[in-house]
Amino acid sequence: MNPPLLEVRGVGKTFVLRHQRRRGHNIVRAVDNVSFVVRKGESVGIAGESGSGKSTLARIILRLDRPTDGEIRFAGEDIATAEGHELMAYRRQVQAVFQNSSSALSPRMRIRDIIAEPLIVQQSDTSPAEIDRRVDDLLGRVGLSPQIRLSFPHELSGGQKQRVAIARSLMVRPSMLVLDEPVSALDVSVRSQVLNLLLDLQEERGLTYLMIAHDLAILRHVTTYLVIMYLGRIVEQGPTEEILGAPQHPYTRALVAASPRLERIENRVLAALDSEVTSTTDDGCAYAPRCPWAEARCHEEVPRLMVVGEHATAAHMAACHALQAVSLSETPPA
Amino acid sequence: MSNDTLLEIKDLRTYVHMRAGTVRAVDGASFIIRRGEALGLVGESGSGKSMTCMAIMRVEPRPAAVIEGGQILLEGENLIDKSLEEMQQVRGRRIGMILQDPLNSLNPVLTIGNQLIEALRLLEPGASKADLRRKARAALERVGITNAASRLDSYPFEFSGGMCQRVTAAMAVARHPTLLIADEPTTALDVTTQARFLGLLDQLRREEGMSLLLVSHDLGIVAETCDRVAVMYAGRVVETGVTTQILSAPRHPYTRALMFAVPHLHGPRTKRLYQIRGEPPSVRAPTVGCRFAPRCDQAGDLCRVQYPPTVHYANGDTVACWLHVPDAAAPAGASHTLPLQRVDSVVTDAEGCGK
Amino acid sequence: MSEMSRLHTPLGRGDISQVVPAPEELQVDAAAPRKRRAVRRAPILALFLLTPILVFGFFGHFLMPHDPTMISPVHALLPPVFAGGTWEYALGTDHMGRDLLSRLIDGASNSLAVAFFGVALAGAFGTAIGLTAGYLRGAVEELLMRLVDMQLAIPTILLAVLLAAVIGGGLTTVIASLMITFWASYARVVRGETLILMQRDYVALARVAGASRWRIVRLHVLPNLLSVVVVLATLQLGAAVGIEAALTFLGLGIQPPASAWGLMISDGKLYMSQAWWIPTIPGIAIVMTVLGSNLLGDWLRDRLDPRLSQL
Repeated sequence: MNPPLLEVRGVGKTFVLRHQRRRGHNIVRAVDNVSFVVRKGESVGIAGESGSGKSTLARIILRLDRPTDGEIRFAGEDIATAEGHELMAYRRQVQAVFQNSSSALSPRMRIRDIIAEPLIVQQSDTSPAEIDRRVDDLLGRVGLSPQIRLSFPHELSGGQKQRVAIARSLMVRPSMLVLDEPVSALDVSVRSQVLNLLLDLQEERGLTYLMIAHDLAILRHVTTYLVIMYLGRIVEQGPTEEILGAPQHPYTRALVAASPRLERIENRVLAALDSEVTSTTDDGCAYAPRCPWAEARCHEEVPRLMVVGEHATAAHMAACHALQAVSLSETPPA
Repeated sequence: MSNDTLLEIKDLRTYVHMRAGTVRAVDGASFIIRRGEALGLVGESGSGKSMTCMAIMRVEPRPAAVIEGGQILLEGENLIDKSLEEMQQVRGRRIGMILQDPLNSLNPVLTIGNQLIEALRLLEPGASKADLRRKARAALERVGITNAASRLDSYPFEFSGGMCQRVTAAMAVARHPTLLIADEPTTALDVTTQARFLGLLDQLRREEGMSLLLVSHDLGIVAETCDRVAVMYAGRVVETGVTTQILSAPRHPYTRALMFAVPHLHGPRTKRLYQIRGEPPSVRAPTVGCRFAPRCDQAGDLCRVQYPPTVHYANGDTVACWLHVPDAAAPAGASHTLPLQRVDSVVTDAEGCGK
Repeated sequence: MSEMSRLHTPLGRGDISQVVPAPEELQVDAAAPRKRRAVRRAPILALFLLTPILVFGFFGHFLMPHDPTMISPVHALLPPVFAGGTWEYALGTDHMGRDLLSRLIDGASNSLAVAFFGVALAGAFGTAIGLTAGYLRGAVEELLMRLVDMQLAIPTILLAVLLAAVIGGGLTTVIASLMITFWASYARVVRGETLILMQRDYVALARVAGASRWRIVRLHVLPNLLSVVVVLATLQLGAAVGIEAALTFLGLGIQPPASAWGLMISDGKLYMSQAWWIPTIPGIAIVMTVLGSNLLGDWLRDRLDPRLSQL
């Protein structure tokens, strides 16, 4: 097993809302007590719906925001509080690709300058000729013609822009990429090109990926380890194939069942139409209000992550009171 | 036209005239929707699927967008010939519509109840306020909103996206249309909410006995919900077919490529996804030949110079591809086994799990 | 391999019911509608109004038929050519016999110089304030924005009178008044725009790349603010000419014997009944400038806003 590269330990982020409409609801826990490990060369996925805190977590890991609790270690160094040189060293190791390629490229900069920016910022003594050479190399590697070097982002298509974003993220030869919904804004026919490119690059360069996505099929394709988040907390984590093949937590089950697949579904069961994400609770399981298995205890006590699953590898854990007693019946209780 | 056809689109063309040139958003699209069926219209951005929906409702963004030709036959009446006043009688009453963004579809300063009551009042102008309110509550209950009575006085911002979308569905079916058009209705929704909403659409369609035109960029969503699927590419319909046929044996190389290009949640895991070359075409450039030919692995010389005729099968399926035209000169370079290049291998589950 | 072979369609022909010819290929003349629309959307009226003013402002000294300050009592109160006068004094003369056309041309360069300068200073200062507030947020933003609110509450003329009382009338007073009047609107607009730009992914990615604050402001925020600032400046240029004229009219601005439109109106107001043209002609010039720059500003806003530029 490879050594851990990124260690996230008990990370939390609370936002205090100034304009409170009702008393007692002015603190939002966007991320609450999240811990996982990303090993070198591995691909870890974070899945969740809107409000799950997965994007806030990505911003914290990229040090765009600071966590309010917990620690983050990269190659053993604490980066949650790093500043100056230490932070710069981290920035050399970790780069990012975001969902919206139109917003990710500065509209009034030329493609060459966009791709070169991380290098120019971090090694300002690099000669222009060397920069050009490396930009051309990367453009070629992501399948773009060096001729677009002097274009502006709006002259490129969505797929081309995302390739530029990937090229830029590789400019300083990082060891890890944070991919925040990297293909969800792309057309289906372009999506596979970018996914293949990402997998090829990982193999060539031994990159470590932390991929955030809502689409489980894409996560299954790219990642080997999966973290499922719901309203800021991890509800289940484990090897991707194990989680998707035999989801344990009721929420993961619902998520897997709801994901579109290429087959006709006749007369889908419309259970509990009205139950939707409401708000975070400090007491009890966040999923309890929607959970068909929920009992009194689920509303009172926050469940902890415990080893689950038939194969019961230490890596597969879920946070559910009901799961601790017995394995859940296939169908929810009436 | 057979009796069970509700809507027939024939050679529809909608061009958008912009400063940078004319975009041929819809450029000769044809398909039919039968009574009571759910038809999925699938295509990528720029394929013209949304513009087709807008043309059916005659709400294409004028003056830039112009219907340049073709017919939209609703129960035999051509909607293109209708005046705006006549279309008012069609919209809502005979065709209902649900759009992508539920928050934009509802008026933020009116309560949910008042908006529903307005929609119902058009149906029964003489009904009393109390009567309409009762019906509005029933409409909310029907789309699965609990505590409907108290929810009537809520404003849209107090509802989640999924609940708002259910309210728009309630309004769309309030006047019992024969056709419901849903244009990317779940794109703004979360996965779990999406599944429930698709289930609701299915339920409403069965209860009302209406037809559903579900537009999506996601073949998976359409496959779950629809009886038949129409695939659009660059302003034309390239293939229509029964869902099971499309899923098991797609005829058009584009449809086939789409199925291989997406990763699946279950079943064997492909190491590399099938990769369609290039980018979706610019609909601006006047083209000859099959629009998909530049990206198609099986394209031959004929494909590049002449658009294929549409082959109709006995069960109503259609495909516009030279590979399926009988007695056509087989496109040079095309093989009958149709290998899909660059799919290196198919790994089994066991191998995929190995860690 | 079963997955693969499942997808290999047999080229069955038996069940084909009919083969419908492809839709015909329509050729569209893509250029024609474009040209028509482009012409219709050009700011013709704005250019028509502004061109003479700008030509006067920049090349006025070569165009003046007479010395704008030369007093000649013999030629006092001559009517313009369209009211029975001669081409010698095309727009007539004032009560001291000075040529109105020459004074109008000379005044254009003074008025425009003052307006340009005042608006440019206000733009630079206001942008800096807005950018600082939008970038730093927090207490700095609160403080700066309350200053903006205070500024916007004080009427321009009152401010100019106070200023004139302190430093005396003249060019400096007008420019200072313009700057103090206008900077606040830049600050407000630029702050709002900065807040939006700071949310863009490319700013986050620049931080991930390790870019300094100054680099982010210089390369990622400022260039994207420019279109907003230019539009606002164009809209304000007309207003600045109007304010300059008003201040000069009140005797707080450009001082005689220099030429200025406000001065011409104030000189001419006594002679309204005998020589209506003296205040009317500079008045028309002011209206042309204000209207022209507003129209140009509206057009620029439409052009530079990418959301509106498509249709």
